[in-house]
Amino acid sequence: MTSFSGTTVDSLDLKGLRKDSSRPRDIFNIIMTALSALCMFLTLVPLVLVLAFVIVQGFASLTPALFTQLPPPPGLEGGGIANAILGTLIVVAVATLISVPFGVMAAVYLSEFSEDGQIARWVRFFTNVLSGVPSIISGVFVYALLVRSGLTGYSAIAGGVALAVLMLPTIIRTTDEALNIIPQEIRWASVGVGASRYQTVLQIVLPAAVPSILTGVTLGIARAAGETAPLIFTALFSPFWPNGLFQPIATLSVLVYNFAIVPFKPQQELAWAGSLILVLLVLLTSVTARVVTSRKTF
Amino acid sequence: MVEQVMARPKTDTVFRLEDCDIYYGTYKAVRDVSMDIPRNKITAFIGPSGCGKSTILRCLNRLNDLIESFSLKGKILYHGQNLYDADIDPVEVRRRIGMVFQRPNPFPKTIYENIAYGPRVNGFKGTKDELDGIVETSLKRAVLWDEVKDKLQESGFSLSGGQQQRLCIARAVAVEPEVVLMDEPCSALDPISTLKIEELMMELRQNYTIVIVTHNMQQATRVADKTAFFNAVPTESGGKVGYLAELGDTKEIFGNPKEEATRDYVTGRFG
Repeated sequence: MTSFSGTTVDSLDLKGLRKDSSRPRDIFNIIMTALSALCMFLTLVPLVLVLAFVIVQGFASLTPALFTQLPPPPGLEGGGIANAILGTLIVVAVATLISVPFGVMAAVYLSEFSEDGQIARWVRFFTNVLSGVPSIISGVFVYALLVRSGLTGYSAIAGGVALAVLMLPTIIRTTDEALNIIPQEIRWASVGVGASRYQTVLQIVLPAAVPSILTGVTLGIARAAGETAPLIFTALFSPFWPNGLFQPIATLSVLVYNFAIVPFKPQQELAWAGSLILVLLVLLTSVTARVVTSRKTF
Repeated sequence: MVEQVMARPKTDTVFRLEDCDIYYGTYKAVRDVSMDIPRNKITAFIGPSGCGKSTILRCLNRLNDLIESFSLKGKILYHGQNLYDADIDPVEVRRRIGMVFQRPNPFPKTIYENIAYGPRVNGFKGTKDELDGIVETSLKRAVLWDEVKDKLQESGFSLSGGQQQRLCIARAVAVEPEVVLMDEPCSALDPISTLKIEELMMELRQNYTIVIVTHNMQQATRVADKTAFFNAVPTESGGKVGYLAELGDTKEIFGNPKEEATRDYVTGRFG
């Protein structure tokens, strides 16, 4: 007959099965749970406050004219931020068009063709470094590369390139991870029926990874859309409608930066409205990313 | 040279392995395997884990090329042509020598596309009707047609495990290979699906040469004409190296093996 600390089968001590919250480890458990719950709520406070503040302030100045009219000259009432909304969409579109092909192809190389050699390790390392680079550095870089060199001057293109630099690491990393999740057996199966490697990547691996890649792209867009620093001295600003990709262009984030600090009430209200629209825009893209992720194949 | 390859007559020995040593990096996984694999027969590879039977199977269609550290010494002759000659195209080798894997691995596509993919990547130029025909024939050969003919446009993942594995077999035969390699094709399946796959193998034997790796000795006795028993022995450096212990008719291997190790393995004394 086996016995554990005096308990024999004949005299089972069933009291030990009951809950007893006075034991030290149970008390510790309760305290730690409460502590982490408290921290969770504390971190939510700034998020909720920022959102609430922007929504309350922005809602007051939300008018249909916002989406149709240009900002008023200093001192005048009314007007809208239609040019900045359009400008943000244009600059982000330029950034996406540049960063997605480069990012996805780079990730395909890393995941499918590099055989995990030295090059891939260094590329992955520098991608991580790039994702930690402050956004204003990317602005300065593009300023020197395109603006001051006279290649494009202050323009939508320059702004788009600056944002593309910021989006690249996100896109490379998420695509790289998305491709790594695709089971190896699927690649073998494709190669096993006589497909070449590029057929396998293009027709089997990439399609299977599309939902995850889209998630990465939308997250990249969400980050880029909210950036101000890289746009201040690349896309600059314009009080007029967008006038081609090679002209300075208004964007929401720069509009908020410019208008929030001027002493005119109408401009300040437009800045709040701009913040609200920007927040909603970013929120919308993030939610889209979540929805797309839920349709993953693997 | 190419002409020579094409001019070779089909022989009754599909594969002839000559003194094959297989390395991963400097690690020798398999030593000194020489064997013949006959045409239109089912040859089973059995043996304990780590004896290199899957490794050898994957050499037969150069799938091991995908593993970077892999290297082979010796010759693997396919109808007399060494598959590892420098001017051999591994992609074409894999079309002629198909493979079915341990776990069912359909592509994340529709049932139809799973089958049509193989012909398409191999430059299929026919009409839609002809492709439909290939899909139907392949699914019929894999005895799956009646179960899926009304839902060809549904995802391959919507099928059960056994159906998925038969879909993978249909996918493999769609490119009209001469040989089908099967790497423990039933190990992830329930007994009834296993039985169906085994019946299917017996069917396929008329048109194809089949090489199957299996851990299930009953399966080997049920389906295989020839059985190769691989064993592993410890090496001085502390690793294990696999070798071919015995090859013969399945009845011989299970009923009257020549080697002590084979007898111990087939009677369940180890492995």
